[in-house]
Amino acid sequence: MSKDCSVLFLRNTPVTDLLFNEGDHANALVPLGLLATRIGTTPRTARYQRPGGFHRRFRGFGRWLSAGLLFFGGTAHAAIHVMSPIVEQGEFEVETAADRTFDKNDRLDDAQTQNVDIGYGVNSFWATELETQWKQDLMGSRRYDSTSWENRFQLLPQGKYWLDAGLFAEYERVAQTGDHNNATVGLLLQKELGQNVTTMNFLLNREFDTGGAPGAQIDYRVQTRWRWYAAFQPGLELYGEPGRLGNLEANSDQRTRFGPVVTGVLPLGLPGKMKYQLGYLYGLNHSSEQGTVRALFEYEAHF
Amino acid sequence: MKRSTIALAGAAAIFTITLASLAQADEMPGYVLTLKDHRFDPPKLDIQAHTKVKLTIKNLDTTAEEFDSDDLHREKVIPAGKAGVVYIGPLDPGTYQFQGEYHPATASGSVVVK
Repeated sequence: MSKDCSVLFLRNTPVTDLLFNEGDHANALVPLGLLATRIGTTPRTARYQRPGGFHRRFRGFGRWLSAGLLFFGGTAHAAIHVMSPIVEQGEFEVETAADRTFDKNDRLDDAQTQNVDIGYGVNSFWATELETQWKQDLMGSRRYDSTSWENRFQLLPQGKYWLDAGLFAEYERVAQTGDHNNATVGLLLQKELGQNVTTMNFLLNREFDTGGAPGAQIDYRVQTRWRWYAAFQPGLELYGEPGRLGNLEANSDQRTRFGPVVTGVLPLGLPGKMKYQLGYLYGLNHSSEQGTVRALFEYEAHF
Repeated sequence: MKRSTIALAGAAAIFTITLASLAQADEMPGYVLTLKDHRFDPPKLDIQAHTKVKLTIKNLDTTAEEFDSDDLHREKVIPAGKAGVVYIGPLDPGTYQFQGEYHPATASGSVVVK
């Protein structure tokens, strides 16, 4: 294989797939224009106030939608999970995710998050979601926290190249005083090797508004699983927050968590599929919660 | 420019070049599945082991169908009258089932890898 740049423009390369609509995969560079020009960070304080009008409308809608789906209460951060770069055109999904921490330190113990998402695969390379999030404050009350608009862009046809790749872009509008509106962008990667599927996310998050933390917060996520049975696929996960671009934390001050996960597709006997993820994460360093249990349920169907 | 920014840009460049260099410039084997009257033809497809293949699915019906396979880890909606492409493999020898999710009673088949 030649090493000059012309190799990038041979037929059936990732570059030509991106630029020239190879096969049935549309030009994924177009939606890159939707990415925010600035990116922000996400650490949130725990001060809360009565939400404004915009947030009341979403809070009411989210409360109705989440009835019957919520199973945890509380928070300190967004419910975490690893995101796939694969988009299914025409797929409608409803997802609920939650996590809860355990720690001897009262500041880190019993932090809970709940998200509810509605998403749709707009075309072969773009899926969009609207997410609402609730948190439990220090007094134990659950409050509406934020609304996010998430987008995933599949860059390459699944399985055609050595790696599957996609991009992620999110804008979050917060409801609580002390928090800051923010945006996240990042790279989504996936590799299949026999029955093993490994997915990696590399994200940058930045806060807007006066008083927001400077610089972009780095967030990485890895999940590797074995497709043993459709309904039971065990795996391992790693989540890390090493600090900000240009200002990484010392290892002991980073937030790094690792642990087992089980995922799968549950038979419904109805149109569509119900997917689930259940995991437990162990904190690996000083700044991490000692334990985090997380769960995610997603119903998807095509219309 | 800070060292971390340079390192990040370098990693992105390495990733892009690596991805391009690993791309398959040569044509991979191609197979065609036809969907008509909610049945796949051929119902059994023989392909080579340890080889990545391009599977073109032509939907000749008047309604959409979803090519769905847990064994192959692929799902793709094929609109009515259109064709879709799915890349599968490299696969170990064995039999891998697939079905049309909208018409599972009739739309089913298998990929036999030898």
